Amino acid sequence: MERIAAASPRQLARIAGGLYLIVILGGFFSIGYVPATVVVSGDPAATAHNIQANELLYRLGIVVHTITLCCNVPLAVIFYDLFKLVNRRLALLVVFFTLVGTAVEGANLSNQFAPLSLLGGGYSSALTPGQVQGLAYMPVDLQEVSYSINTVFFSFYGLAIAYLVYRSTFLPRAIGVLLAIGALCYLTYSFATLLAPDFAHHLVPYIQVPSLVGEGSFSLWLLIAGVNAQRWNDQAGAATTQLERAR
Amino acid sequence: MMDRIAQASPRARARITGSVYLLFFLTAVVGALFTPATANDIVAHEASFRLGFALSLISTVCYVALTALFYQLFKSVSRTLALTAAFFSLVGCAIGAFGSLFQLAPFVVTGGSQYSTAFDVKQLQALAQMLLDLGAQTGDIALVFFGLFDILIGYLIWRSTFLPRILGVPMAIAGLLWLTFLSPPLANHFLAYIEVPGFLAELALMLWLLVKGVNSQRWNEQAGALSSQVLTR
Repeated sequence: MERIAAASPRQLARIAGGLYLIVILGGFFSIGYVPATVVVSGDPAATAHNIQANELLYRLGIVVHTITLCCNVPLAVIFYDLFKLVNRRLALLVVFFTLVGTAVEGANLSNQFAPLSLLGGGYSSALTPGQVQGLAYMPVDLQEVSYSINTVFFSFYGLAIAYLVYRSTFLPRAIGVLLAIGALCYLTYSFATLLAPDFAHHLVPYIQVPSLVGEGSFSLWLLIAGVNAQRWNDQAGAATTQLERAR
Repeated sequence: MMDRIAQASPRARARITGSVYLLFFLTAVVGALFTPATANDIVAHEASFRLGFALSLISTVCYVALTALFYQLFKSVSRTLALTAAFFSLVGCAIGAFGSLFQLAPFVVTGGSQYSTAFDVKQLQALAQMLLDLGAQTGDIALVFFGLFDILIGYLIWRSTFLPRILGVPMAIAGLLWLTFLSPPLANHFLAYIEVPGFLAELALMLWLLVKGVNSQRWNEQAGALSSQVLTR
C-alpha cells in the first residue's frame, strides 16, 4: 500500500493499463465468448440444454464479469489521480460515471443466476418444461437491455476521459480522439437498442469496432508507455501555482 | 469550453449547474409523461414509451453530472457533507438505473415467440406486470436516497452564504417527504402532497441557479475561509 501511495505517475498509468486490459479481455470472455457458446438465439430449449451442459463455463462467465467490475473501481480512482491536474471537475465525472455504471452492471448480474436456479430442479412440479426454459431464457433477452443502460453511463465516462486525454499533454492526442469516437459509437448503439431494437441489430458488429480501437489503444499505451512523467510533472507544477495564485 | 468552466467565476459555474439542472428537469418531466401504469399500456404505445424511457435515462445521466456540480458548488460550505450528499445521490442514481431495466422487460416478455409458445397470454401479461411493479418498487427505494441527498443539499444551502437561506428550507422539507417512500403504500397514498412540494423546491433552486447564479464574492470568501482553515491546521 505504501508503495502504491508513493507510486510515480508512470507506475500508476501502467497499473491502470493493466486493469483496463483485464476489463477488456474479461469483457470479451464474459459478454462475448460465453453467451456465444451457450445461447442459441430464439431457442430456449437448446439454450437451457447448453447452460446445463456447460454450467462451469456459464458460472465462470459470471465470475470473470464480476472481476472486471471490481477492476473498474481502482481504475476510476487512478484516473482521478492522473487527470485531476488537467481538469478536476471532469476527473470527478469520470469517477462518478464509472461508479454508477459499474453498480448498475453489477446489480444486473443477478439476472444471470436465474437460469441456474430455475433449471436446477425445484420448479418442475409447478411449471411445464417449456415454461421453465422460457423463464430461464429471459435473462438473455434482458441482458441486451441492461447492457444498453449501463453502456450509456460508460459512454459519458468515455467522453469525459477522451477530453482529458486530449488536453493532457502527457498522453497522445490521437488516443483522445479515438476514445471520443468509441464513446459516441457506444452511445449510438445503446440508444438504438433502447429505441429501435430491430434496427440496432443491423449495427453489430461494426459499431463495436471503434470502441475496441479506442479503449484497446488507450489501455496498451498506458501499459507499455505509461504517461510522459516530465509533462505530467509540468502540469502538476502549473496546477499548484494556479491554486496558490487563486488563494 | 471545459477550460472556461474550470476558470469561470463561481456565478458562471452556478449558471452552468442551473443549465444541467434544467436539462434534467425537461428530460425527467417529459420522460415521466410517457410512463404507463400497466403492462398493457406499454405494449399498446411502444414507440412513445421507448422514447420516454430514453429521456428518463438521459435525465439520470444529467443527475450524475449535477451531483458532481453540486459537490463543487457546496464543498466550500462543508466538504464532508457535500461528499456525503454526492454519494447518496450516486447510490440513488445507480438503484434507479438498475430498476429501469424492468420497465422495458414487458416488451421482452410479450415480444418473443420463445415465450408465447410456453405461456398463454394471461400468464405473459401477469409476468410483464410483475416485472413492471418490481421496477416501480426499485424506483421507490432510489427515492429514499434522493431524499437524504435533498435534506443535505437543503442544509448546505442554509449554511452557505452565497445562496438565499430560504431556498434551503423547501429542499430539506422535500427531502423529508421523499423519505416517506420508506413505506411505499403510505407515500403513494399522499403522492400529490409529496411530489408537488418536491417539484416546486427543486424548480425554485434550479431557476435561482440559472437566473441569479450565486454571489461570487461570498462564494470566494467561504472557499477562502475553508482553505485557510485547512492551511492553519
